Amino acid sequence: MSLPAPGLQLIKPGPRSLIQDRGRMGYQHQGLATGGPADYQAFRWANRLLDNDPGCACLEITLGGFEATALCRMSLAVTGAAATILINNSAHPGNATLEVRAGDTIRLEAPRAGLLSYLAVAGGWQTTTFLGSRSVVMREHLAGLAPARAGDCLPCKPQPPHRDARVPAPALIDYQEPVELRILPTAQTMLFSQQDRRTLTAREYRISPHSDRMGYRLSGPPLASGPGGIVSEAIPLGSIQIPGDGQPLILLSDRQTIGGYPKIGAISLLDCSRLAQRRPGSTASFRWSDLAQCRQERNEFEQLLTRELTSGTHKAQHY
Amino acid sequence: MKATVSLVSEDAILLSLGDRIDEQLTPRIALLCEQIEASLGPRLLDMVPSYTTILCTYDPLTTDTGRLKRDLERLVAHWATETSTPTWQASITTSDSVPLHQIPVFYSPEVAPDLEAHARACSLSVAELIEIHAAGTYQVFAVGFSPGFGFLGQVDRRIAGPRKATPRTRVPRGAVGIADRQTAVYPVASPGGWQLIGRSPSVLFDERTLAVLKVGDRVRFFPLSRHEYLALGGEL
Repeated sequence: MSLPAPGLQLIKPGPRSLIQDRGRMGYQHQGLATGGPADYQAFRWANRLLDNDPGCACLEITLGGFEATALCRMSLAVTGAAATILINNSAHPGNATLEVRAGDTIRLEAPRAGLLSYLAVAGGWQTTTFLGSRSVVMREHLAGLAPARAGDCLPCKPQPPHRDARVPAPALIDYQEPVELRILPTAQTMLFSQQDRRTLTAREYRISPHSDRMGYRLSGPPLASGPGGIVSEAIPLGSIQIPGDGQPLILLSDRQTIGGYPKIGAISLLDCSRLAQRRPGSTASFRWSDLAQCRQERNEFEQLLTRELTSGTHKAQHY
Repeated sequence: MKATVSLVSEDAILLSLGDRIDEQLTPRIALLCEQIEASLGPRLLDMVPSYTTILCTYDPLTTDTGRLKRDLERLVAHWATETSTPTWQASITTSDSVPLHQIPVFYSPEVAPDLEAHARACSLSVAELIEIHAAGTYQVFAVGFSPGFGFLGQVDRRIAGPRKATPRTRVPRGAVGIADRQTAVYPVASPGGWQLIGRSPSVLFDERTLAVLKVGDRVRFFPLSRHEYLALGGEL
Protein backbone atom coordinates (compact mmCIF):
# COMPACT_ATOMS: atom_id res chain seq x y z
CA MET A 1 0.00 0.00 0.00
CA SER A 2 1.38 3.38 -0.94
CA LEU A 3 0.62 6.39 1.19
CA PRO A 4 -1.66 9.03 -0.33
CA ALA A 5 0.25 11.72 -2.17
CA PRO A 6 0.74 14.64 0.16
CA GLY A 7 -1.50 17.59 -0.54
CA LEU A 8 -5.05 18.71 -0.18
CA GLN A 9 -8.11 16.50 -0.47
CA LEU A 10 -11.16 18.41 -1.72
CA ILE A 11 -14.44 17.94 0.09
CA LYS A 12 -16.36 20.76 -1.65
CA PRO A 13 -14.88 22.69 -4.57
CA GLY A 14 -17.54 25.43 -4.34
CA PRO A 15 -19.20 26.86 -7.47
CA ARG A 16 -15.94 26.77 -9.42
CA SER A 17 -12.33 26.07 -8.52
CA LEU A 18 -9.66 26.04 -11.21
CA ILE A 19 -5.93 25.51 -11.09
CA GLN A 20 -4.23 28.50 -12.69
CA ASP A 21 -0.59 29.30 -13.22
CA ARG A 22 0.75 32.12 -15.39
CA GLY A 23 -1.05 30.61 -18.40
CA ARG A 24 -0.27 28.48 -21.44
CA MET A 25 1.93 30.75 -23.51
CA GLY A 26 3.09 30.02 -27.03
CA TYR A 27 0.18 27.92 -28.30
CA GLN A 28 -2.45 30.46 -29.24
CA HIS A 29 -1.63 29.85 -32.90
CA GLN A 30 -2.98 26.31 -32.30
CA GLY A 31 -6.25 27.78 -31.06
CA LEU A 32 -5.42 27.12 -27.41
CA ALA A 33 -6.44 29.90 -25.03
CA THR A 34 -3.77 31.01 -22.55
CA GLY A 35 -5.90 30.73 -19.43
CA GLY A 36 -4.07 32.11 -16.39
CA PRO A 37 -5.39 33.89 -13.32
CA ALA A 38 -8.32 36.24 -13.88
CA ASP A 39 -6.93 38.37 -11.01
CA TYR A 40 -3.22 38.50 -11.70
CA GLN A 41 -2.55 40.79 -8.72
CA ALA A 42 -4.05 38.49 -6.09
CA PHE A 43 -2.38 35.51 -7.80
CA ARG A 44 1.04 37.16 -7.59
CA TRP A 45 0.53 38.06 -3.93
CA ALA A 46 -0.48 34.50 -3.04
CA ASN A 47 2.79 33.23 -4.48
CA ARG A 48 4.78 36.10 -3.03
CA LEU A 49 3.61 35.39 0.53
CA LEU A 50 5.16 31.92 0.24
CA ASP A 51 8.29 33.07 -1.67
CA ASN A 52 7.16 30.91 -4.60
CA ASP A 53 8.26 31.50 -8.17
CA PRO A 54 5.86 34.16 -9.46
CA GLY A 55 4.09 31.77 -11.86
CA CYS A 56 3.43 28.83 -9.50
CA ALA A 57 0.01 27.19 -9.80
CA CYS A 58 -2.68 28.42 -7.38
CA LEU A 59 -6.28 27.31 -6.99
CA GLU A 60 -8.61 30.07 -8.21
CA ILE A 61 -11.78 29.70 -6.13
CA THR A 62 -14.90 31.54 -7.31
CA LEU A 63 -17.36 32.67 -4.62
CA GLY A 64 -15.97 30.53 -1.79
CA GLY A 65 -18.04 27.56 -0.66
CA PHE A 66 -14.80 25.61 -0.56
CA GLU A 67 -13.79 22.89 1.87
CA ALA A 68 -10.77 20.59 1.94
CA THR A 69 -8.69 18.43 4.24
CA ALA A 70 -4.93 18.69 4.53
CA LEU A 71 -3.18 15.35 3.99
CA CYS A 72 0.14 16.63 5.29
CA ARG A 73 1.70 19.65 6.94
CA MET A 74 1.54 22.55 4.50
CA SER A 75 2.22 26.26 4.26
CA LEU A 76 -0.69 27.91 2.46
CA ALA A 77 -1.69 31.45 1.56
CA VAL A 78 -5.06 32.88 0.58
CA THR A 79 -5.45 36.19 -1.25
CA GLY A 80 -8.11 37.97 -3.28
CA ALA A 81 -11.80 38.20 -2.35
CA ALA A 82 -12.60 39.19 1.23
CA ALA A 83 -13.73 35.84 2.62
CA THR A 84 -13.54 34.25 6.04
CA ILE A 85 -11.13 31.34 6.18
CA LEU A 86 -11.82 28.66 8.75
CA ILE A 87 -9.23 26.15 9.85
CA ASN A 88 -10.93 23.55 12.02
CA ASN A 89 -13.63 26.15 12.67
CA SER A 90 -11.30 28.89 13.90
CA ALA A 91 -11.37 32.01 11.74
CA HIS A 92 -8.30 33.39 10.02
CA PRO A 93 -7.85 36.56 8.01
CA GLY A 94 -7.07 36.40 4.33
CA ASN A 95 -4.10 37.96 2.54
CA ALA A 96 -1.73 36.05 4.80
CA THR A 97 0.04 32.72 5.13
CA LEU A 98 -1.56 29.81 7.00
CA GLU A 99 0.10 26.74 8.47
CA VAL A 100 -1.94 23.53 8.49
CA ARG A 101 -1.24 19.99 9.68
CA ALA A 102 -2.41 16.64 8.36
CA GLY A 103 -6.10 16.24 9.19
CA ASP A 104 -6.86 19.96 9.42
CA THR A 105 -9.97 21.11 7.60
CA ILE A 106 -9.81 24.32 5.58
CA ARG A 107 -12.98 26.16 4.64
CA LEU A 108 -13.47 29.30 2.63
CA GLU A 109 -16.80 31.02 3.14
CA ALA A 110 -18.69 33.04 0.53
CA PRO A 111 -16.81 36.34 0.15
CA ARG A 112 -18.14 39.60 1.57
CA ALA A 113 -16.57 41.46 -1.36
CA GLY A 114 -14.96 40.33 -4.59
CA LEU A 115 -15.35 37.03 -6.41
CA LEU A 116 -12.05 35.22 -6.66
CA SER A 117 -9.76 33.77 -3.98
CA TYR A 118 -6.32 32.35 -4.68
CA LEU A 119 -5.19 29.42 -2.57
CA ALA A 120 -1.45 28.91 -2.90
CA VAL A 121 0.84 26.31 -1.36
CA ALA A 122 4.57 26.57 -0.84
CA GLY A 123 6.14 25.32 -4.07
CA GLY A 124 2.85 25.47 -5.99
CA TRP A 125 0.17 22.83 -6.63
CA GLN A 126 1.68 19.93 -8.60
CA THR A 127 -1.25 19.10 -10.88
CA THR A 128 -1.11 17.93 -14.52
CA THR A 129 1.11 19.98 -16.82
CA PHE A 130 0.24 20.32 -20.50
CA LEU A 131 2.45 22.34 -22.85
CA GLY A 132 4.30 23.93 -19.97
CA SER A 133 1.26 25.02 -17.99
CA ARG A 134 -1.17 23.64 -15.43
CA SER A 135 -3.86 26.23 -16.24
CA VAL A 136 -7.36 24.86 -16.77
CA VAL A 137 -9.46 26.35 -19.57
CA MET A 138 -12.83 24.73 -18.95
CA ARG A 139 -14.24 24.80 -22.47
CA GLU A 140 -11.17 23.07 -23.95
CA HIS A 141 -11.80 19.81 -22.04
CA LEU A 142 -8.14 18.80 -22.26
CA ALA A 143 -7.09 15.55 -20.59
CA GLY A 144 -6.18 16.03 -16.92
CA LEU A 145 -7.15 19.70 -16.97
CA ALA A 146 -10.64 19.76 -15.48
CA PRO A 147 -12.18 21.98 -12.80
CA ALA A 148 -11.53 20.69 -9.28
CA ARG A 149 -14.13 18.18 -8.08
CA ALA A 150 -15.01 16.76 -4.68
CA GLY A 151 -12.59 13.96 -3.88
CA ASP A 152 -9.75 15.35 -5.98
CA CYS A 153 -6.33 15.51 -4.42
CA LEU A 154 -4.16 18.52 -5.15
CA PRO A 155 -0.56 17.33 -4.74
CA CYS A 156 2.18 19.58 -3.41
CA LYS A 157 5.89 19.32 -2.69
CA PRO A 158 7.19 18.63 0.79
CA GLN A 159 8.38 21.97 2.16
CA PRO A 160 9.90 23.17 5.43
CA PRO A 161 7.54 25.41 7.44
CA HIS A 162 7.30 28.90 6.02
CA ARG A 163 7.58 32.12 8.01
CA ASP A 164 4.37 34.08 8.54
CA ALA A 165 3.74 36.85 6.07
CA ARG A 166 0.87 39.07 5.02
CA VAL A 167 0.09 41.35 2.11
CA PRO A 168 1.12 44.95 2.94
CA ALA A 169 -1.77 47.38 3.44
CA PRO A 170 -1.02 49.54 0.35
CA ALA A 171 -1.56 46.49 -1.86
CA LEU A 172 -5.02 45.66 -0.51
CA ILE A 173 -7.95 46.51 -2.77
CA ASP A 174 -11.56 47.24 -1.82
CA TYR A 175 -13.50 45.26 -4.41
CA GLN A 176 -16.73 47.02 -3.46
CA GLU A 177 -15.56 50.35 -4.83
CA PRO A 178 -16.66 51.03 -8.40
CA VAL A 179 -13.79 50.19 -10.72
CA GLU A 180 -12.24 52.75 -13.05
CA LEU A 181 -10.58 51.23 -16.10
CA ARG A 182 -7.86 53.06 -17.98
CA ILE A 183 -8.05 52.67 -21.75
CA LEU A 184 -4.97 52.40 -23.93
CA PRO A 185 -5.89 53.78 -27.35
CA THR A 186 -5.00 51.37 -30.15
CA ALA A 187 -5.00 51.19 -33.94
CA GLN A 188 -8.77 50.65 -34.13
CA THR A 189 -9.73 53.40 -31.66
CA MET A 190 -10.19 55.86 -34.51
CA LEU A 191 -12.73 53.56 -36.19
CA PHE A 192 -15.14 54.97 -33.58
CA SER A 193 -16.61 58.47 -33.68
CA GLN A 194 -15.43 61.20 -31.35
CA GLN A 195 -18.92 61.10 -29.85
CA ASP A 196 -18.54 57.41 -28.97
CA ARG A 197 -15.04 57.90 -27.62
CA ARG A 198 -16.46 60.58 -25.32
CA THR A 199 -19.50 58.55 -24.32
CA LEU A 200 -17.29 55.69 -23.17
CA THR A 201 -15.59 57.87 -20.54
CA ALA A 202 -18.51 60.19 -19.73
CA ARG A 203 -21.01 57.53 -18.72
CA GLU A 204 -21.10 54.59 -16.36
CA TYR A 205 -21.41 50.98 -17.42
CA ARG A 206 -22.88 48.08 -15.49
CA ILE A 207 -21.30 44.64 -15.37
CA SER A 208 -23.61 42.13 -17.04
CA PRO A 209 -24.39 38.72 -15.52
CA HIS A 210 -23.01 37.24 -18.77
CA SER A 211 -19.46 37.80 -17.60
CA ASP A 212 -16.88 35.13 -16.97
CA ARG A 213 -13.21 34.26 -17.40
CA MET A 214 -13.55 34.64 -21.18
CA GLY A 215 -14.82 38.16 -21.03
CA TYR A 216 -16.70 40.78 -19.05
CA ARG A 217 -19.78 42.22 -20.75
CA LEU A 218 -20.78 45.72 -19.81
CA SER A 219 -24.11 47.35 -20.44
CA GLY A 220 -24.65 51.06 -20.89
CA PRO A 221 -24.93 53.64 -23.64
CA PRO A 222 -24.26 51.78 -26.91
CA LEU A 223 -21.25 52.74 -29.04
CA ALA A 224 -22.70 52.35 -32.48
CA SER A 225 -20.27 54.20 -34.74
CA GLY A 226 -17.75 51.40 -35.28
CA PRO A 227 -17.81 48.84 -38.06
CA GLY A 228 -19.89 45.82 -36.99
CA GLY A 229 -17.03 43.50 -37.83
CA ILE A 230 -13.41 43.34 -39.00
CA VAL A 231 -11.37 40.59 -40.63
CA SER A 232 -10.76 38.17 -37.74
CA GLU A 233 -7.48 38.71 -35.91
CA ALA A 234 -5.83 37.57 -32.69
CA ILE A 235 -7.11 39.28 -29.54
CA PRO A 236 -4.75 40.70 -26.90
CA LEU A 237 -5.65 40.44 -23.20
CA GLY A 238 -7.78 43.36 -22.05
CA SER A 239 -9.10 44.28 -25.50
CA ILE A 240 -12.38 46.20 -25.41
CA GLN A 241 -14.42 44.71 -28.23
CA ILE A 242 -17.50 46.52 -29.48
CA PRO A 243 -19.83 44.04 -31.19
CA GLY A 244 -22.86 45.00 -33.27
CA ASP A 245 -25.01 45.85 -30.25
CA GLY A 246 -22.50 48.54 -29.19
CA GLN A 247 -22.01 47.10 -25.69
CA PRO A 248 -18.35 46.77 -24.59
CA LEU A 249 -16.93 43.29 -24.03
CA ILE A 250 -13.57 43.14 -22.27
CA LEU A 251 -11.56 40.02 -23.11
CA LEU A 252 -9.89 38.23 -20.20
CA SER A 253 -7.68 35.17 -19.62
CA ASP A 254 -9.90 32.51 -21.26
CA ARG A 255 -10.70 34.64 -24.33
CA GLN A 256 -10.88 32.89 -27.68
CA THR A 257 -7.67 33.32 -29.63
CA ILE A 258 -9.10 35.16 -32.64
CA GLY A 259 -12.22 37.21 -33.25
CA GLY A 260 -13.85 39.57 -35.67
CA TYR A 261 -15.13 42.49 -33.60
CA PRO A 262 -13.48 45.92 -33.66
CA LYS A 263 -11.72 47.10 -30.51
CA ILE A 264 -12.02 50.64 -29.20
CA GLY A 265 -8.92 50.12 -27.02
CA ALA A 266 -7.44 47.86 -24.38
CA ILE A 267 -7.10 47.88 -20.61
CA SER A 268 -4.01 46.78 -18.70
CA LEU A 269 -3.32 43.45 -17.00
CA LEU A 270 -3.79 45.11 -13.59
CA ASP A 271 -7.10 46.66 -14.62
CA CYS A 272 -8.23 43.24 -15.91
CA SER A 273 -7.42 41.97 -12.41
CA ARG A 274 -9.54 44.64 -10.74
CA LEU A 275 -12.42 44.09 -13.14
CA ALA A 276 -12.45 40.31 -12.69
CA GLN A 277 -13.12 40.73 -8.94
CA ARG A 278 -16.26 42.81 -9.60
CA ARG A 279 -19.66 41.20 -9.44
CA PRO A 280 -22.43 41.48 -12.02
CA GLY A 281 -24.54 44.54 -11.34
CA SER A 282 -21.67 46.70 -10.07
CA THR A 283 -20.54 49.70 -12.06
CA ALA A 284 -17.42 50.34 -14.10
CA SER A 285 -16.21 53.56 -15.68
CA PHE A 286 -13.49 54.33 -18.21
CA ARG A 287 -10.79 56.94 -18.55
CA TRP A 288 -8.42 57.43 -21.52
CA SER A 289 -4.83 56.73 -20.56
CA ASP A 290 -1.57 55.75 -22.21
CA LEU A 291 1.11 53.10 -22.22
CA ALA A 292 3.53 55.19 -20.12
CA GLN A 293 1.06 55.37 -17.25
CA CYS A 294 0.29 51.69 -17.57
CA ARG A 295 4.00 50.81 -17.44
CA GLN A 296 4.52 53.02 -14.40
CA GLU A 297 1.70 51.35 -12.53
CA ARG A 298 2.97 47.88 -13.40
CA ASN A 299 6.46 48.81 -12.22
CA GLU A 300 5.07 50.10 -8.94
CA PHE A 301 3.20 46.83 -8.49
CA GLU A 302 6.36 44.83 -9.15
CA GLN A 303 8.29 47.06 -6.71
CA LEU A 304 5.74 46.48 -3.98
CA LEU A 305 6.09 42.73 -4.52
CA THR A 306 9.83 42.90 -3.90
CA ARG A 307 9.49 44.67 -0.55
CA GLU A 308 10.32 42.82 2.63
CA LEU A 309 7.09 41.42 4.09
CA THR A 310 6.11 41.78 7.73
CA SER A 311 4.91 38.71 9.56
CA GLY A 312 1.23 37.90 9.93
CA THR A 313 -0.44 39.58 12.88
CA HIS A 314 -2.80 36.67 13.36
CA LYS A 315 -1.04 33.46 14.20
CA ALA A 316 -2.90 30.24 13.68
CA GLN A 317 -4.78 29.86 16.94
CA HIS A 318 -4.32 26.17 17.46
CA TYR A 319 -0.57 26.38 17.54
CA MET B 1 -1.87 48.58 -48.42
CA LYS B 2 1.27 49.52 -46.55
CA ALA B 3 2.04 47.15 -43.69
CA THR B 4 1.79 48.70 -40.23
CA VAL B 5 3.20 47.73 -36.85
CA SER B 6 1.24 49.03 -33.88
CA LEU B 7 0.97 48.64 -30.13
CA VAL B 8 -2.46 47.21 -29.37
CA SER B 9 -2.21 46.48 -25.65
CA GLU B 10 0.17 46.51 -22.72
CA ASP B 11 1.90 43.40 -24.02
CA ALA B 12 1.06 42.94 -27.70
CA ILE B 13 2.11 44.33 -31.07
CA LEU B 14 -0.11 43.85 -34.13
CA LEU B 15 1.32 43.58 -37.62
CA SER B 16 -1.36 44.57 -40.14
CA LEU B 17 -0.32 43.21 -43.51
CA GLY B 18 -3.38 43.58 -45.73
CA ASP B 19 -6.83 45.08 -45.65
CA ARG B 20 -8.92 42.21 -47.00
CA ILE B 21 -8.99 38.42 -47.21
CA ASP B 22 -6.52 37.50 -49.93
CA GLU B 23 -5.32 34.00 -50.84
CA GLN B 24 -1.96 35.40 -51.97
CA LEU B 25 -1.31 36.99 -48.58
CA THR B 26 -1.55 33.83 -46.48
CA PRO B 27 1.67 32.12 -47.67
CA ARG B 28 3.45 35.44 -47.23
CA ILE B 29 2.16 35.67 -43.66
CA ALA B 30 3.33 32.10 -43.00
CA LEU B 31 6.79 33.10 -44.25
CA LEU B 32 6.89 36.23 -42.09
CA CYS B 33 5.98 34.12 -39.04
CA GLU B 34 8.98 31.88 -39.74
CA GLN B 35 11.25 34.90 -40.14
CA ILE B 36 10.02 36.49 -36.91
CA GLU B 37 10.39 33.21 -35.04
CA ALA B 38 13.95 32.77 -36.31
CA SER B 39 14.94 36.33 -35.50
CA LEU B 40 12.98 37.23 -32.35
CA GLY B 41 11.65 33.88 -31.08
CA PRO B 42 12.92 34.00 -27.49
CA ARG B 43 11.63 37.56 -27.02
CA LEU B 44 8.05 36.59 -27.87
CA LEU B 45 5.55 34.76 -25.66
CA ASP B 46 3.09 34.09 -28.46
CA MET B 47 2.72 34.80 -32.16
CA VAL B 48 -0.71 34.37 -33.74
CA PRO B 49 -1.24 34.76 -37.48
CA SER B 50 -4.67 35.33 -38.96
CA TYR B 51 -6.11 36.39 -42.34
CA THR B 52 -4.31 39.73 -42.63
CA THR B 53 -2.44 40.12 -39.35
CA ILE B 54 0.12 38.67 -36.96
CA LEU B 55 -0.19 39.40 -33.24
CA CYS B 56 3.05 39.25 -31.25
CA THR B 57 2.79 39.02 -27.45
CA TYR B 58 5.76 39.73 -25.18
CA ASP B 59 6.61 40.30 -21.53
CA PRO B 60 6.93 44.07 -21.05
CA LEU B 61 8.95 43.56 -17.85
CA THR B 62 11.78 41.79 -19.64
CA THR B 63 11.46 43.02 -23.23
CA ASP B 64 11.94 46.60 -24.35
CA THR B 65 8.81 47.61 -26.27
CA GLY B 66 10.45 50.26 -28.45
CA ARG B 67 13.26 47.97 -29.51
CA LEU B 68 10.93 45.07 -30.24
CA LYS B 69 8.68 47.33 -32.32
CA ARG B 70 11.65 48.61 -34.33
CA ASP B 71 12.91 45.06 -34.90
CA LEU B 72 9.46 44.00 -36.11
CA GLU B 73 9.26 47.03 -38.41
CA ARG B 74 12.61 46.13 -39.89
CA LEU B 75 11.56 42.51 -40.49
CA VAL B 76 8.23 43.59 -42.02
CA ALA B 77 9.94 46.05 -44.37
CA HIS B 78 12.44 43.44 -45.53
CA TRP B 79 9.64 40.86 -45.96
CA ALA B 80 7.45 43.28 -47.93
CA THR B 81 10.23 43.91 -50.43
CA GLU B 82 11.30 40.27 -50.66
CA THR B 83 7.80 38.88 -51.25
CA SER B 84 6.54 41.52 -53.65
CA THR B 85 8.74 40.41 -56.56
CA PRO B 86 7.01 38.49 -59.37
CA THR B 87 9.57 35.69 -59.03
CA TRP B 88 8.64 35.14 -55.41
CA GLN B 89 4.92 35.27 -56.17
CA ALA B 90 5.36 32.70 -58.91
CA SER B 91 7.48 30.45 -56.71
CA ILE B 92 4.80 30.23 -54.04
CA THR B 93 1.92 29.38 -56.38
CA THR B 94 3.86 26.50 -57.89
CA SER B 95 5.40 25.38 -54.64
CA ASP B 96 4.89 21.76 -53.67
CA SER B 97 6.48 22.30 -50.26
CA VAL B 98 3.16 23.49 -48.84
CA PRO B 99 1.57 20.60 -46.89
CA LEU B 100 -1.63 19.24 -48.44
CA HIS B 101 -4.05 17.48 -46.08
CA GLN B 102 -6.57 15.03 -47.55
CA ILE B 103 -9.53 14.94 -45.20
CA PRO B 104 -12.19 12.23 -45.64
CA VAL B 105 -15.80 13.26 -45.10
CA PHE B 106 -19.04 11.31 -44.79
CA TYR B 107 -21.54 13.66 -46.42
CA SER B 108 -24.95 12.39 -45.29
CA PRO B 109 -28.04 13.71 -43.53
CA GLU B 110 -27.39 10.92 -41.04
CA VAL B 111 -24.45 12.91 -39.58
CA ALA B 112 -25.02 16.37 -41.15
CA PRO B 113 -28.25 18.04 -40.02
CA ASP B 114 -27.98 20.96 -42.46
CA LEU B 115 -26.90 19.09 -45.60
CA GLU B 116 -30.30 18.88 -47.28
CA ALA B 117 -31.52 22.31 -46.20
CA HIS B 118 -28.25 23.95 -47.24
CA ALA B 119 -28.35 22.28 -50.66
CA ARG B 120 -31.94 23.52 -51.10
CA ALA B 121 -30.92 27.03 -50.00
CA CYS B 122 -28.18 26.94 -52.66
CA SER B 123 -30.63 25.59 -55.28
CA LEU B 124 -28.43 22.53 -55.71
CA SER B 125 -28.97 18.83 -55.27
CA VAL B 126 -27.15 17.22 -52.34
CA ALA B 127 -24.91 15.40 -54.83
CA GLU B 128 -23.98 18.67 -56.53
CA LEU B 129 -23.20 20.37 -53.24
CA ILE B 130 -20.93 17.46 -52.22
CA GLU B 131 -19.19 17.47 -55.58
CA ILE B 132 -18.49 21.20 -55.39
CA HIS B 133 -17.27 21.05 -51.76
CA ALA B 134 -14.96 18.11 -52.51
CA ALA B 135 -13.64 19.66 -55.73
CA GLY B 136 -11.96 22.64 -54.05
CA THR B 137 -8.45 22.98 -52.74
CA TYR B 138 -8.64 25.17 -49.69
CA GLN B 139 -6.10 27.17 -47.82
CA VAL B 140 -5.82 27.49 -44.03
CA PHE B 141 -6.30 31.23 -43.46
CA ALA B 142 -6.30 31.10 -39.67
CA VAL B 143 -6.35 28.67 -36.75
CA GLY B 144 -8.40 29.63 -33.73
CA PHE B 145 -11.83 29.72 -32.13
CA SER B 146 -11.14 26.33 -30.52
CA PRO B 147 -8.04 24.10 -30.37
CA GLY B 148 -7.01 23.13 -33.90
CA PHE B 149 -9.96 24.81 -35.64
CA GLY B 150 -8.74 25.86 -39.12
CA PHE B 151 -10.61 28.50 -41.11
CA LEU B 152 -10.43 27.18 -44.68
CA GLY B 153 -11.28 29.11 -47.80
CA GLN B 154 -12.56 30.02 -50.05
CA VAL B 155 -15.48 27.78 -50.97
CA ASP B 156 -17.15 28.11 -54.35
CA ARG B 157 -19.75 30.91 -54.23
CA ARG B 158 -22.45 28.41 -55.23
CA ILE B 159 -22.18 26.61 -51.87
CA ALA B 160 -21.47 29.64 -49.65
CA GLY B 161 -24.12 30.43 -47.07
CA PRO B 162 -24.75 32.37 -43.88
CA ARG B 163 -24.21 31.08 -40.35
CA LYS B 164 -27.29 29.74 -38.62
CA ALA B 165 -29.36 32.47 -36.95
CA THR B 166 -29.18 30.56 -33.66
CA PRO B 167 -25.90 28.73 -33.07
CA ARG B 168 -26.08 25.14 -31.85
CA THR B 169 -25.00 24.70 -28.25
CA ARG B 170 -23.03 21.61 -29.22
CA VAL B 171 -21.47 20.68 -32.53
CA PRO B 172 -19.76 17.25 -32.36
CA ARG B 173 -16.11 16.60 -33.07
CA GLY B 174 -15.48 16.04 -36.78
CA ALA B 175 -18.47 18.05 -38.00
CA VAL B 176 -17.76 19.75 -41.34
CA GLY B 177 -19.36 23.16 -41.76
CA ILE B 178 -19.75 26.10 -44.10
CA ALA B 179 -20.08 29.74 -43.10
CA ASP B 180 -19.97 32.44 -45.77
CA ARG B 181 -17.11 31.40 -48.08
CA GLN B 182 -15.30 29.48 -45.36
CA THR B 183 -15.37 25.82 -44.47
CA ALA B 184 -13.98 23.98 -41.46
CA VAL B 185 -13.86 20.75 -39.50
CA TYR B 186 -14.68 21.10 -35.79
CA PRO B 187 -11.65 19.38 -34.16
CA VAL B 188 -13.33 19.23 -30.73
CA ALA B 189 -16.97 19.42 -29.68
CA SER B 190 -18.00 23.03 -29.13
CA PRO B 191 -20.92 25.40 -29.66
CA GLY B 192 -21.11 26.51 -33.29
CA GLY B 193 -23.24 28.27 -35.85
CA TRP B 194 -21.92 26.88 -39.15
CA GLN B 195 -24.08 24.96 -41.64
CA LEU B 196 -23.16 21.31 -41.03
CA ILE B 197 -22.81 19.38 -44.29
CA GLY B 198 -20.75 16.34 -43.30
CA ARG B 199 -18.62 14.67 -40.68
CA SER B 200 -15.02 13.53 -40.76
CA PRO B 201 -13.46 10.67 -38.80
CA SER B 202 -10.08 12.48 -38.90
CA VAL B 203 -8.50 13.70 -35.68
CA LEU B 204 -7.45 17.32 -36.21
CA PHE B 205 -6.45 18.03 -32.63
CA ASP B 206 -5.34 15.90 -29.73
CA GLU B 207 -3.03 16.42 -26.81
CA ARG B 208 -0.15 14.56 -28.47
CA THR B 209 -0.20 15.79 -32.05
CA LEU B 210 -1.77 19.19 -31.27
CA ALA B 211 -3.26 21.05 -34.23
CA VAL B 212 -2.84 19.23 -37.54
CA LEU B 213 -3.60 22.33 -39.65
CA LYS B 214 -1.24 25.28 -39.85
CA VAL B 215 -1.80 28.70 -41.43
CA GLY B 216 -0.77 28.41 -45.09
CA ASP B 217 -1.40 24.65 -45.37
CA ARG B 218 -3.76 23.34 -48.05
CA VAL B 219 -6.73 21.04 -47.58
CA ARG B 220 -8.86 18.84 -49.86
CA PHE B 221 -11.92 16.86 -48.87
CA PHE B 222 -12.93 13.50 -50.33
CA PRO B 223 -16.25 11.72 -49.84
CA LEU B 224 -16.54 8.46 -47.90
CA SER B 225 -19.26 5.86 -48.02
CA ARG B 226 -21.06 5.06 -44.78
CA HIS B 227 -19.13 1.80 -44.58
CA GLU B 228 -15.74 3.52 -45.07
CA TYR B 229 -16.64 6.21 -42.56
CA LEU B 230 -17.46 3.66 -39.88
CA ALA B 231 -14.36 1.61 -40.74
CA LEU B 232 -12.23 4.71 -40.12
CA GLY B 233 -13.77 5.08 -36.68
CA GLY B 234 -16.44 7.62 -37.59
CA GLU B 235 -19.28 8.13 -35.12
CA LEU B 236 -22.95 8.38 -36.01
